[in-house]
Amino acid sequence: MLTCKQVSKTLAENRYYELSWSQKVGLFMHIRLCAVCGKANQQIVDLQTGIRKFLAREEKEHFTEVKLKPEERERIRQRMNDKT
Amino acid sequence: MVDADNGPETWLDDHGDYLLQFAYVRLRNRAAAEDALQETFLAAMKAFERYDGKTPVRYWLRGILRHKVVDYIRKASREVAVDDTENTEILDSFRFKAFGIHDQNPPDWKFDPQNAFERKEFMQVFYDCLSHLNENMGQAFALRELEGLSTEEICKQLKLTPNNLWVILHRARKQLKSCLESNWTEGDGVYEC
Repeated sequence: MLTCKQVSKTLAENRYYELSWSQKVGLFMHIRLCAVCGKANQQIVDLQTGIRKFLAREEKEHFTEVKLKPEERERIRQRMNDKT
Repeated sequence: MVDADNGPETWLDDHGDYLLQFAYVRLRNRAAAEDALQETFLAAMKAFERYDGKTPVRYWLRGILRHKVVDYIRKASREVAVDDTENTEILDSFRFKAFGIHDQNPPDWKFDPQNAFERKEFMQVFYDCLSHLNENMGQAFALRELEGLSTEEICKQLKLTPNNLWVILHRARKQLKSCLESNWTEGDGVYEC
């Protein structure tokens, strides 16, 4: 049986979704049942899940809400031209 | 594979915006993101002869940019002072020592996270909140949660002890949670109960 400290340490050092299936089960059980660290660690898992979705969207959609301003584009182009 | 479609002259127009955004969400600083992008292109021009065309050029450039981002964070972190007194307070707390957590009963989410994560609009809020994490926290958080670097590696890069890194990540999550809560209400989503 895992201790709270082991669960917290695992979540500090890993992203939940990258753990092996058996590690996930152990963590999940502990988090669901533990009155001491369950809530705090569940919220970490929630946030990591959100980040995973965010990264997946970043990977899939290549969104570009931030765009290069014309002057930034020009500065970079200039530097690249200087090097050729 | 060097051909007219993916040569350096196409990079800025074809991949500039994407790579800028990629850098910006990790560095949270426009000028730094621009610098990282510029350095990426310059390094890539030098290395382009060795590009074998196995991965699309965008991902190849992104690979170089990842290194530039980590480099930038490592350099910048030398100038950031760490607030040790507050850290010590958290690290000395009974809950941290005994259970590896700081707060046994953090406030509930003000929205249903599982539901919100499925919403496209929410991801915009998520992006904004990630971009606005304060500098010290944001750097460590980006390396850990976005780039997936090991805690050991981050401690080495940012010259932090594991416990200090723990506090910084803890604060970053707290700030991110509260930012998401202030900027997303259930009314924006479809969740109703």
